Order: sequence, then C-alpha cells, then structure tokens
Amino acid sequence: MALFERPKKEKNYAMVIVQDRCVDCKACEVACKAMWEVPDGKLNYRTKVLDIDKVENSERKMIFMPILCNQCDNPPCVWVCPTGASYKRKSDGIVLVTPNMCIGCKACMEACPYDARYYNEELGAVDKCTFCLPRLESGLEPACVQTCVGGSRNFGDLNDPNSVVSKLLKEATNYWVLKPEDGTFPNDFYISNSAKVE
Amino acid sequence: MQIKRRTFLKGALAGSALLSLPLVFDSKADAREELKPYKPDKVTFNFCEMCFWNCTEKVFVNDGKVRKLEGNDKSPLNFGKLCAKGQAGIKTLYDDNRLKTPLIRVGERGEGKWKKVSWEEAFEFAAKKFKEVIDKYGPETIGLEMHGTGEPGIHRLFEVLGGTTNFAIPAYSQCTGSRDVGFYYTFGAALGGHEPFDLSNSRYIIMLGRNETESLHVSELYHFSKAIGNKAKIVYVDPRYTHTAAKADKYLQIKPGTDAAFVLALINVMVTEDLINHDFVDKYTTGYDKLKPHIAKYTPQWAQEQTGIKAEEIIQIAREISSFAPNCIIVPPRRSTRYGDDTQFARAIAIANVLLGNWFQPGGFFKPNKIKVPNADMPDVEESKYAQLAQQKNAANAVLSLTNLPTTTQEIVGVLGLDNILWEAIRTQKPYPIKAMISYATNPLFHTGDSNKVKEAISKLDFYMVVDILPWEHTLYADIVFPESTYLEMYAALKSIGWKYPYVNFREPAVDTIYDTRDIWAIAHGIAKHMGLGEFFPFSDAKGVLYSSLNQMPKDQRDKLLKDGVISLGPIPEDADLSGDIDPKVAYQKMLDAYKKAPFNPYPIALGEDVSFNTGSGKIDIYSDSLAGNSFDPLPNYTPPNKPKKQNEFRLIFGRVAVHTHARTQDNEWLLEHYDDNNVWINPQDAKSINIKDGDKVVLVKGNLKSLYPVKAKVTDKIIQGTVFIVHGWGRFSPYTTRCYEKGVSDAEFCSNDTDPLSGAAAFLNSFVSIEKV
Repeated sequence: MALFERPKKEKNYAMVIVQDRCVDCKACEVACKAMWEVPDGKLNYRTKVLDIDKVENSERKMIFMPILCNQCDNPPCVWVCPTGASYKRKSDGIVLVTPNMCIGCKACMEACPYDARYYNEELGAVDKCTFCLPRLESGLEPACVQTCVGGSRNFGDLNDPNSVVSKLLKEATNYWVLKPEDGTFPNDFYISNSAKVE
Repeated sequence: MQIKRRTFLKGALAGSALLSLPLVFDSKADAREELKPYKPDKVTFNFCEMCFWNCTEKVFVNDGKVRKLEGNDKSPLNFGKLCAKGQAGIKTLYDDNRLKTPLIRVGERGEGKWKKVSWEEAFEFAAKKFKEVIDKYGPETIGLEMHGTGEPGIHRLFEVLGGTTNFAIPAYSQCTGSRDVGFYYTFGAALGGHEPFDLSNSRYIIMLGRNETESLHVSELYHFSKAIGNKAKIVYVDPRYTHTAAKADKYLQIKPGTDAAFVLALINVMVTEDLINHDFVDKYTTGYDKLKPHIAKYTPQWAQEQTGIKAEEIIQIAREISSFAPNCIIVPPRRSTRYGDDTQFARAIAIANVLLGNWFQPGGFFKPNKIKVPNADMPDVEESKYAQLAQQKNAANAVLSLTNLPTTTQEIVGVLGLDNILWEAIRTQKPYPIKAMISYATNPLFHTGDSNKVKEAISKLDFYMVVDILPWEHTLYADIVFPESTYLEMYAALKSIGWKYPYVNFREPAVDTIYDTRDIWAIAHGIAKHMGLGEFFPFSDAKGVLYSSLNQMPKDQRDKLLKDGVISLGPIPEDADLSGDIDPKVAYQKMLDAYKKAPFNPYPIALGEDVSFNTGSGKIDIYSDSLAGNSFDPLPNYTPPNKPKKQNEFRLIFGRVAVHTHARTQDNEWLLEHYDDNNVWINPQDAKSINIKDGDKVVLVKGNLKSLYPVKAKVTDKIIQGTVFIVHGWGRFSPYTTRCYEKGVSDAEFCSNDTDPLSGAAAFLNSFVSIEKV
C-alpha cells in the first residue's frame, strides 16, 4: 500500500524510522557530524533527535523523534532556490546542494518545513543530509543508520520489495510521514507499535 | 511536533504543492555531482575505550587522520553500532588539552605546577620513589586503583613491586559490588561487568533504577530496544522520570531507598498467590520453605506505605510478570551502591527472579560464554624480590582489616578490591601507613563519595603517581603524571570477555602517537627496568604482549582475528525473533534446538542440562546459611532509608546522560555539544517551599561545604518530592581541561561516604543537601 502514487525513479531511497525504538542516545548525530565534518557548534546538524515532553491523560510522556531531510518528492527547498544550487537527483530522488552555486540566501532553510538544513560557515553554503550518498556508492549504509543503537533507523530502496524498508512498511499496521498537509511527499517514514506521533 | 516553521513562505508553498503533482525534476544536475564515493585510505581494527563495554570497532583513516569510527559488524558485542561516546572518540584523540609528555610536580599538591621531563627522567624518578617507600615502609605500603583495558599492565607492575592486595577497581565499591555480592550469596556467581540479561528475548522486564538508555552499553541497549520492538512489557521504577521511563509501558515514581520494599512485596504476592515456578524452585533451590513465613509481613499494602506505589499496582505487576515466567526478568541494577542495604536488596531481586525460574532461560539470565586465549609468555611475578619480601612480611590486607566482611564477600573483594576503603586506609594510615599510590585511568576525586577526604588522603602519601590521557583534577595532586596514548594510537593485550556470544577483541593503532605518549605496558616496563626488575617485563610495550599471545594461538584463529578484527561464536542464525506474529514459544523452541548443536550454549537449564551452583549447597540459596553463620539476615529484610535532619534538606541522587561516560568525557567537544553543564533537578513543590524558580542559579550546601560553581535549577515533576538530582561527572576544577573547566556541580563532593556492611561497597545516596540561590 502506498500513500500516493510515487514518481518512478531507478532507486527510491527511503528511511523508515521505528519511532518507539529511538532511545535518544544521539549516536546518529555524532556519527553524522564525524562523517561529514560538520563544523562544531551546537546547531549544526544534518540530523537530530527531538525530545518532546507532553502529558497525556494526566500521564507524563516523553517522545524521541529522529528527524532529517525527507528528500521530498515535491521539495519546497528546490522550488525556492534562486540559483539552482539545490536540486533533486533524477536517478534516486536525493536532494542535494551544489556548494559553489549556493549564494547563502537561506531561502531553502526557510522553505523547509522540517528544519532539515543549516548554513555551513566553513563551506559558505547551505548543507544538508544526502542520505550519505557517498557512502552508499561505496556500499556502506548511511552513517546514522549504521550506528543506530536502538535499531530505530532503517534505510533502503523502496523499489526493492525485499529491502528492509519495504518489509517494514509492508508489515507496519501504522505508518505516517511528517506534515503531509504541506504536500511535500516525504521519503522518510515513521512507524510505531504504539500511537502515531506528530 | 516541535519543528521550527517559518510561516511567511507557507502560502506560496502550499500553492505550489497544489498545482504540481509530485515529480522528480528532470535535472541535468545529476551530472554536476561533486560528491565522490567515500572510501577510507586505511581501515584498522580496535575496540572502544570511551567506556568499559569495549565495543568492537573499525577505524577509518583518511590523509593520515582518523576520520570515522564504525562499529565492527562482525562483533556480537555491538552489531556494528557505536554510541555517541564511541563515535566521539576521535575528539578525545585530537583533544589538544591532552597530556603530552611526562610531568613532575614542582608546586604544591593541588596547584598543578609541573615541569616537563623526558621518559628516562620520569622512569628514574618513579623508580627512586618506589624504592624509597619500599625501603622505608615495605612493599605492602604501595596501593593501586585502576580501570580499563590497561589494567593487567599496571597490575603486573604493582605485583612486581611487591604490592599486596591493597588495590582496587572502582567498579566494585562504586558500582556493581553490592549487586554482585548479593548474587554471589544466592547463585554462587557474580554478574560481572557484561551482564547476562537476555533482554531481547524477554517478554516482561522490570527495571529498578537501571537507566538502560542513559547509562548505556551498546548491545544491552540494542537488545532492550529489540524488546520494545517485540512488544515486551516494560515496567520502570525510579524516583526520577528518565529516558528509560519514557520507553516503559509503565513508569512508577518510587520514594528513594524503598526499592527493596517493592521487590519484597512482589515476592509476597508470588508466594501468597502461588505464582512461583515450582519445577525450577524444587529442582534448583534450597530454603523456599523458610521464605514463605519470612515474606508474610511484606504485604503489598505494607509496601504501599513505604514506596508510595499502590498495592494494586504491585499485585498486578507480580501477576503479570509471573504469567510470562520463565521468559521475563527483574533486572538487578548496575550501580547499586545506594543506601547501604544494597546487598540485601540485590538478594531480594535475585530471589524474585529465582521464583520466576529464569536462570539460564531465554528472556531471563543467560549463561556467559568465553573463548580462552593464550596469555603472553612472561615470568611469574612472585619471583620478584619485592614480591618475595612482601610474602615474608605477610602483611595483612590493610583494606580488609578495616572491615568486618564475611569470608564469602572477601572472595569477590579479593578480585576487585574496595576502592572507597582503600582511600580511607590511606587517609587514616591504618592499620599501617600506605605511602605510595597509583591511579591508573581513574579519577578518585570524582568517583568517591567524599572527595575532600581523598584530598586529605593524598596529603598523607609520600608518592602519588597518575597515568591518564587528560590533565583531570587528580593529576593536579600527582607527584608524577605519565601520559598514556589513546586507544586509537596503540596496541593492547587480547581481550576475551564472557557474554552471551563469546568473542575476542583486538586492538592495533590507527595512527602514530600524536604526542610523546606511551601505552601502559611501556610505562610499566620502563619503571620496572629502572628498578632492576626489567626481566619481569620481557616486552617493551603492548605490541609485544599482544603478539606473544597471538603467536601461541592456532593459526586459523589468529588469521581470523587479524582479518576480521574480532573472533566470535555467535549469534547463531536461529536466534529467536519475537517480532511479528510468531508465537514466542515456537521461536524459543527453534532457538533452543539450534543451540543443542551450537559450539556454545547460553541456556543450559532450558535445554535440561545438569547445572550445579557454586554455593555450599550446590543449589541456589534462597535461604543463605553462609549469611546466617556470619550474623547477617539469611533472608532479605527491609531497612528503611535514612531521613533528613532538618527541614528543606533534600536527598541527593545522581545519574548519567547518554553522551558522557562517568567523569572522563567532559572535555570532548562533540559530547559537550549535547551536554555541557549539569543542573539541579528539583520538584516544583520543593522549589516553591524554598522560593526557587526554574533557571535560578543555585549552589548545593552541606554543612560548611558549598559547591564550587553555581548551576541552574531545573524545576520539574520528573523528580520526586524531597529529592534533588544531578548528572554525575561535573563540577570540573582542573584549569587544564579547558572545555569543561568551572562547569557544573560534583556529586562526589556531597555524597555520603557510608558503606554497605555486607559488601563493603559505597552507599552514596544517604546524603542530604540544601539548595541556596546565588
């Protein structure tokens, strides 16, 4: 079952996050930072885990929510980019930024409903998650998935029915994407044993 | 969802989304791809030293620098995963605050004034000092505390110098001691540092202050998370709502120090309602008949008074967990050095588990397995003249003579030592003066209950030697500081650890040493040589020790280790997978059948093998004759926690965050980004009574003692009333660890220095503090 008709791509890379298995250990954030030499400083992350406190039926709850670029099939960041630095690859749908074409106007950062981009002072350009494309091309998993201690993050090709992501979505009784109302058609999916979290 | 959203573009975007069907841009841009495939120039094997779980890893090197650490997916210890601390090992390697050369003190102790010296000078100085102490007071007056993979190297030096049993690994008295003694009295086995909890196969897990997700060990947490995925029911009991509470189906906020009452009441319900696993209890245990009358007084209603947890909750939990027996577990907490009755608390947990019959069963406790590896070929330390001198003198163990520990406890203490009492022996210089002390990779000013007493103790020493990688607070007091290389720059002796799946870890340097540092075997070798004891260290560094072992290994085993970076015998492919709709009983049976043929077996009781226990009776002692014979309660009783003496005093409890290891990672840049200062958690009602608001700057006060630096108050009902909480490892006062200097407040200054009479281990949480606004 698909949420909607997806455009055809040679590879349809996707992240499936088992939300209740995230333990907020921050291994993903540090692994990503190490891998991509993201400059030191608190706010510079390509991916992060949000801690959300709430009270439900007078019971305290705390929810951990991994977020990263959704590699949207309808990417607002690409639409607003005045120079074409932000673009979406035809072959696999990964959204990338070409640093030397980026003028640092940050329109894409404003446009992204997921706050998934940051401005990299060292590059002088906006930077973001690439699904670890350079690792994929060497046969490695994305760094965050590879090290995910809770086993919450899963990555693969939805075109392949045997991939872990296809299987997880097929077996899930309940899955969702973030902010579907924005019409971005994300490629990050969330599943959970318990209730949907938004 | 708390994603920041700027709204001014929203209209335009919503419009575009409506107008356009989802499409992939036909972008020529694919061709402008600047991202090249990532390939490391070099991959070396290692195991992590950022904490003591020692996850197996691969080190990716590019342009001569360590670029990325990755868990070794061939290791059953961490399945290719590393935590944030492990990933951040790179920043410890490249920390420019590191100790860079040997240093000899020139100022007063505590001043941190040193002169840089050569290794030759350093060895000569240390050798001279050790000789002086031995000549003047005897070899037994040398003490040692140590932690980490280098332990065998420094311990060998200690033995060659004639050090007797005045040594300690803080992991006993500051962490697992009471728990392990409690299990030793019950099962004849300590649980050890790699706990045999079969969490991934468990269907019902009760955790009492075992904050799995924040005091995390990779595979343990991974298995815990698998249990969540398998829809195991998780009950978490703690005075504080932690990240683990967030993962539980049920969180119970318990009054601190009353966990034993909760567990005794669980036992009461199991016994009263006859929910026990009779087959197991009849076959493997002694003393159940004595437990029945003993437990009668510990009713759920009684426990409600003590713990603040409703009797109905306790009854329901006891019934629920019993219904999953034996595939369930009540997890004995790791750092169970809390209130001084911790050994009996551990006994209560052990007995509750016995009644569930979960020993050596899927989902309960597995049997650890270990691969035997050859030791490096080195002469017997007892041949050393100082060791022989010590033997002639037959000096008593200073530490044990300050306690009244029963002999059974002493069997465990003999292996791990009592760090809290070792420092007390130094401070009081009783029963005889300990005059030289070595701290290897452990900081006594942060791991003990009353750090000011440790400062006083250090002032009694003729010689204090520290080996570490960073200039932490205790180095300020050292007469000599030896800079050790980090794990990414050195070899290490082979490390075989018993766990569910047996494995052997291997370490080789990824890069050359950055500064003038050496490994612990080289440091020990240098000192020994300058004392004329060089023959006892035939290898001049860790590489020699490693290869001496490797060369004795069967060739195929050695080749495998060098090729994969790890030898392991598991997991077997048939390991139970309880996710999905499969009947757990079927999954377990499939797994057990497979283990019948496997080279190791974590579930001998489930497989019906004959199992006997290393207790006097050969069975599990519900009733302990050994404890009775030593005038201790043979069945666990409840001791209520102590109470504050004054109004507005709060019990001080401490714990961890997932991104720091004890007091040893606070200078790490990447970890600091996630947690760079602690704060004081206080319940809103308590805060109101002392007029503190969230974010106010406060200090902790205890008698004349005031915390060094103000920290913020965090007013939250996540902490129970009457109790304040801080994260361990802060309040840093070494000006040389610049990134964390003057940050936070240290529990080690304010904790109680009490001990558990049965284990001798610390009881940190019997201390009360007041909070003052600044």
